[in-house]
Amino acid sequence: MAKPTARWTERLEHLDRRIIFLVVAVGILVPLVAPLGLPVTVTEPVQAFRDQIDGLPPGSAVLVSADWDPGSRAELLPATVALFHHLFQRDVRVLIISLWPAGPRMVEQALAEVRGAHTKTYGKDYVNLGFKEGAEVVMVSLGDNLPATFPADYYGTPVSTLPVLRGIKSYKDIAMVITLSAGYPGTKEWVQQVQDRYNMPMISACAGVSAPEYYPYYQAGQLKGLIGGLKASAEYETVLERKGFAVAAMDAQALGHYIIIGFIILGNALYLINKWTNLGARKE
Amino acid sequence: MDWSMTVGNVLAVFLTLAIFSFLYRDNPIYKTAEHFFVGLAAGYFIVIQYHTVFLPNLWQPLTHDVAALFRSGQAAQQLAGSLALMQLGAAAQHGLWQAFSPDIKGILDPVTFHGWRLALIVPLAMGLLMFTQLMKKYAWLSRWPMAVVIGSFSGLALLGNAQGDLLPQIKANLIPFIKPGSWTAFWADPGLFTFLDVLWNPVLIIGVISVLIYFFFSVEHKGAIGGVAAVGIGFLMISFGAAYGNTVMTRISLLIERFDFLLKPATRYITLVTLLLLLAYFIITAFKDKHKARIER
Repeated sequence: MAKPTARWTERLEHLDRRIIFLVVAVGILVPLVAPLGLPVTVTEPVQAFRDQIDGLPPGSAVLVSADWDPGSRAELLPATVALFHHLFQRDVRVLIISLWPAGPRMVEQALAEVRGAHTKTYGKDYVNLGFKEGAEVVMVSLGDNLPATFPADYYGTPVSTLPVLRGIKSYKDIAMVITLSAGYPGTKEWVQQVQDRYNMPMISACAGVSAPEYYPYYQAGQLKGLIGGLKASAEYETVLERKGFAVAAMDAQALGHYIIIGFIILGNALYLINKWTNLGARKE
Repeated sequence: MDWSMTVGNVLAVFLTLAIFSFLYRDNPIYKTAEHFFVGLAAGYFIVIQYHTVFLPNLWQPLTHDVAALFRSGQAAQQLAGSLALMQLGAAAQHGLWQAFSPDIKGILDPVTFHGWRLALIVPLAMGLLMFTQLMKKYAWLSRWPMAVVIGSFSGLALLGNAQGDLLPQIKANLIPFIKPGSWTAFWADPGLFTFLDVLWNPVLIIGVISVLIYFFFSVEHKGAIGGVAAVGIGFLMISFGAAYGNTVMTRISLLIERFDFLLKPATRYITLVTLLLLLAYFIITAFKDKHKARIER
């Protein structure tokens, strides 16, 4: 006996996944080639992030921990670049560390993008102290003795010779910690080990995937500002009036989401249609 | 554009498209890119650890400062002094320091004192013990450094979780049922956002309580408890949905960044050529597979 042919709704329910990939790819490519210019609205956590940096006292030092690697480049490079622009516009000393091995290279990439736009001097206004193994141990160790934890910068220069670190011994000499986080160790560990123990003002830019975990910290006041994912990076670029990759990517991001929402609705609708049709056929 | 940049771009485009090729099907080109990535990451990690941790924090202090110490003939005194001070807390260290005679203070002068660095022999020895894993007979020795690592991390994590997470989060949930001023704001300017502001605290409180009750398994989830637990499941589902939505957002962001890279003026022609080569490879292998299957039949 010939096998009964499946209805078109049944065939569609078992659509080849490669067609879905293709549709998503086209949906993302089109706005990259022909931008739609969708508006970007600034949310409260991002505005708070900006306000915290604007409120830093002149001459103070901030510690930026770049805890991310190329896997999160898409989301955190735009945030890091915008942050460095913002910090370099202000009269603050910027100390950059990383608890991820690839972090210092990412910092160098971001610094390369902002250097030309500002007159800040390496070693005097900012320093890349490089990577240090130890996660939470490093965080706590910085509260005891920062120069002993990072005896040399990323290029091997002893920190005792760098003017940017003059007078900085531990967290008590730092006005704010800014974490750029893509996972462990990251914002969560900084909040747990440093924020409450040293009563340290803290803000964070993180990968979108971690944002839901960090919103409670923002709500509880443990984080004073939060940038979660590329969308929030676009908001930060907008609020700083320095539109870059994040803003340019928002059209593609929105269209990608619409397509995925469309497929979720379609998949569920087809499942229900096929279920009801089969039930009706069985009753007959 | 220099040659190194061009070679870098060709490699980056090839590896990106090679990884994307898995979306069509598993293939040797994808496998090559995958192995390349794993090997490169491992190599990079070792080099970074060597240059930014091993050299500045261990090897250079030991070979430079401690060698100077031995040359000065004060190694024994400084080692004894540093070990004595290491045993004490900060306050006791300060007290002991005040009690030292000027001669001892001279030896332990923070400017010329390198005795602290001698203590680095301990982590060096601990690190070397890790390599006993490679010798079956002495592998048990690696448990000591592991015990130190696990013990210190557990202590820090426990303290951090309680002090930095649990207590502040409990404190953040001790809030009035209705946000002060939210009703007044709603009646003054009725709208969606002012209404949501009124709902903010009740949703938070009901959400926390119902989810906690859902995870309370000592009582059977029946009747009123069952009803509250069902509300808790609803809140959990919403939070999982938010987490999934953010995960999708992150993945789409990664895809956009790669597409943006592939479409850059410096890479778009490389992308086109690589794409055509990959396409040719897949067409040829598809024909070969078909031919092989026909022969086998």
